[in-house]
Amino acid sequence: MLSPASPDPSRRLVVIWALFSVFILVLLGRLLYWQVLRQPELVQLGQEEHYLTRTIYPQRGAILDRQGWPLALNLYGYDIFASPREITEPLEVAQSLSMILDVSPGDLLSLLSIEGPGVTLARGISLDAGEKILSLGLPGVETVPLPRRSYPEGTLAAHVLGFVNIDGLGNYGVEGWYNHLLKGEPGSRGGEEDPQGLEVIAGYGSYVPPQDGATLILTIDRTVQHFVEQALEQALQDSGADSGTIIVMDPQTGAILAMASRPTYDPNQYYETDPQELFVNPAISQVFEPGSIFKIITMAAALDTGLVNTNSTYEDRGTILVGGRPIYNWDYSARGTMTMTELLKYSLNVGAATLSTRLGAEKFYEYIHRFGFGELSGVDLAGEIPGLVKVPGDSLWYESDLGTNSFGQGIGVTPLQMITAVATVANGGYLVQPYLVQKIVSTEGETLFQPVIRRQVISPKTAQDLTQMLVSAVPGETSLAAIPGYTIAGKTGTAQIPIPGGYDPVWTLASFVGFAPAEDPQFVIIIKLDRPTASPWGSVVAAPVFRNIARELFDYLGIPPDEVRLAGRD
Amino acid sequence: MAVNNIRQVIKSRTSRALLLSVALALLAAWFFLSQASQSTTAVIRLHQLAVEKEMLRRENAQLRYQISLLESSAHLQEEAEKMGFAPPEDAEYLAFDLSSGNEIGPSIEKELTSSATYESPPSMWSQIISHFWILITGQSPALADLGR
Repeated sequence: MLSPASPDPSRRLVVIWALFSVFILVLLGRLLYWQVLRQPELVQLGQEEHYLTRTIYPQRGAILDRQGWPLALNLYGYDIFASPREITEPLEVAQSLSMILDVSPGDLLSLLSIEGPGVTLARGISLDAGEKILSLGLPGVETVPLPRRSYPEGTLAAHVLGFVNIDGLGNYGVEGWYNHLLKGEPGSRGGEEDPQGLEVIAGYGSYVPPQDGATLILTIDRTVQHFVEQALEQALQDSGADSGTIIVMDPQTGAILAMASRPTYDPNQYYETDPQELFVNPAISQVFEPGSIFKIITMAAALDTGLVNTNSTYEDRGTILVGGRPIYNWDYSARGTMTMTELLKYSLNVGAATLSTRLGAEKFYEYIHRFGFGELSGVDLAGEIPGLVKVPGDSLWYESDLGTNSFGQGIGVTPLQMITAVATVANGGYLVQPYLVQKIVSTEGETLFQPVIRRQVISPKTAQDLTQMLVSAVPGETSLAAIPGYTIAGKTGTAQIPIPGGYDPVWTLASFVGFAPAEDPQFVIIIKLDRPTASPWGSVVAAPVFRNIARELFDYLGIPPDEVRLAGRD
Repeated sequence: MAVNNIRQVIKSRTSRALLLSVALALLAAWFFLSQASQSTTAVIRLHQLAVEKEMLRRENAQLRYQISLLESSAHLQEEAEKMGFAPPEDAEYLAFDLSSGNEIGPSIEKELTSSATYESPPSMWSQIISHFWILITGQSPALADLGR
């Protein structure tokens, strides 16, 4: 007989069973947690323990000129790393590497003595040097091959090309604008590794091939670019200017044949460039007051609206009051009755202001905008700015601006905007979109760029009349641009440099813009020289540069003199 | 006795079957190992080729760069100047009056026409010589001339 105090054995069993069940449930729960819920994470952790993935870098796309000459290529360099913990004989390693890396053994030894998992011994060393180190098989020394951007033409077209930084990112120019196409997509190679971290070659592996970047074929002709840069160097030397820009464009299509600025930098050693403002392309990213070359725009507006024709005259009294501000001719002369051609020939500010005031602000600024000023040209280069055009209604616009803007003062344009506007006159009145890449070759095929006409700005008749007037102007103030045998249309400019509170009393910007042959223009050239010391005038320092470049272009492009070219046309 | 015989037979059969299965297992192992060894060799070779390809790619890039340095406009100008070349001074262009009778196109056509009419049909003697030549050499005179 059981005493009443003794527990019921079946109850005890139930309790044990319940405890056991709870234990089993907890166990199952933990199993579920680790084996099901966290399974992917744990599997990944497990794989990472013995699975190594290496990035395969794609080849960045090459950049070629219009003839296929390379302007930017890839070169491999090696980065050299060391793990001091794994190096048992640091002195020996330092001595072996010092000859190859051209670094003193002492410096290397101090690097190898640093406490830590790894140190960088050298970056971007040559392929030969890297392979020498690799062949030494030094324990604890790792050589990592990395693609490096190289520019075989050195500083040639540096502002157009831009550069690629150490992270493989394109900066400025074409490298910046087309970085997404040039960079390609990296691939990877995965494989198992042993406890020592060495690859198990026969083990499980994966391979994702890299996709190389697209090749860009530019409109730039390296020969034209070369002699344009030489002409610019020479011009700076002859004129004493401290900087300058030249652009050569095909007016029919907007294709840029050459674009050069000085001072410049070497994209191969971009990291040594000082100051870094040199990276900025002045042709698209810096505004200047164009001065008298802007009279072409004023005249185009006046002709196109029918305000004047080629035979119209005005009375030049030597001064005109616009918005309470007197405007004078550059030589303070009063020339009496002047034709429109003479206005351009003698570059008369009073004449230009007379036209803009007669046009009225609305029409005048409408034409300025139609010619593409105050907006981006759409060129495929990183860093373009729209320029500075004040219009009625703006807080900084004054009525006198209507007069000064007519001869290119108080208005900020980029050299590219200016040459594009003049190309409009050269091609019969169409504003074309300037461009630098004419073809993209990628794994998906070829993409050919077609010229883009943005709008018709002036009528073909206006363009023709204005061209004739610019041709007539060349023997006058721009005679130094003339080339015997060829008809050239052009205009010089001499602009004052704005400084806080007014204009610099000493320095000027000398410029020339022109195209040739006048009856069938094949190229437009703009030359801008900043702060020349030999002479302040564009007619003296910039016009001869146009002549030198145009002469080279006639020979290079095989454009014979008018007498020969037009012989059979009649 | 009969039971012993039966046991003997079973033993020998079992041992044969055992031997056969061991032989089959060895064969299978040999096939497997052989295949594994071949695939491992192939993987190693592939790995070597991939490394080699990568090296060649780098060398190719290096060579392309060296070529482009040698072909760079600055280098070409330097070399040309060393060789005595100078930039052209004043190019002279020759004019052809294409509208007159001295046009290049028609005059070439005329020359071609005249040269075609100048060639008279082969004479009897030349035909005989030609046939004789073919008989001796087994090829036409033109081909024989080329072969000399």
